[in-house]
Amino acid sequence: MTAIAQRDMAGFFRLVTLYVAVFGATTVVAVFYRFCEERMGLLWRSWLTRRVVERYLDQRTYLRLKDSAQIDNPDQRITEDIRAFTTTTLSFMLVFLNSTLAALSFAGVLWTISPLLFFVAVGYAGLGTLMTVLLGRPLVGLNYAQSSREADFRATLVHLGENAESVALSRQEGGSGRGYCTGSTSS
Amino acid sequence: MDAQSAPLNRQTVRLFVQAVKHLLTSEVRRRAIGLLLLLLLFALAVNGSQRRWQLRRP
Repeated sequence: MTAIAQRDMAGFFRLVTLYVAVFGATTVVAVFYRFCEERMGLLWRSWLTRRVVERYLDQRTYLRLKDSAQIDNPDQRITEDIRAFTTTTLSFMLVFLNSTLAALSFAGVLWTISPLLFFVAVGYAGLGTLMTVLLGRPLVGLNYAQSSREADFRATLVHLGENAESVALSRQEGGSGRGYCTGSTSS
Repeated sequence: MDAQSAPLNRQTVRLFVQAVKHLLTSEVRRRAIGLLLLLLLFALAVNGSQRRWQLRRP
């Protein structure tokens, strides 16, 4: 029986006030949660970037990497890849934490409503996760390829800026040159 | 590593755990652990209030 069905005005306003209070408090907590998430991401990113840059500059590693074909675009890896790694990892951890807490919180409620409903919900979530893993697996490689292409494109444009005069004089903007229009590098 | 060789296996999990462990044992570990505890607290608060509200509903 609800307060409305019982025509209980005082009870209705009491529950509305409680709802608004819980909603307001939850909003404040969600804002602080988001703030902490961003701060944590920044902390992790700055620490990891500092650490990688130290190792990059140590014992002329940058010089050896320049001649190595194994690792392309180290500047891209230090900036973009670390950002993607830290934010994605943190986001994954928090999603996992929230999902576990939500599952623990509502499993009991769902079980009291109907045990069958509980098993159907778990099965549905499991099937969704399996489909996501299977369908999303090719995206890992595609994402890597996209980052690599973007890094090549940026490196090509930086090269153009640094060698603007010689490129202009020899008219190597496209065609037989480094392929500035497409971002592909031939040299 | 190329676009095709991006495996999701035990090594991925091991590297993931290592990355988190390195952060939590670094010189910024106090701030990192503090922020993680705050995040856990806020997550518990949000989920706890939702559950409390769910149980109070008639």
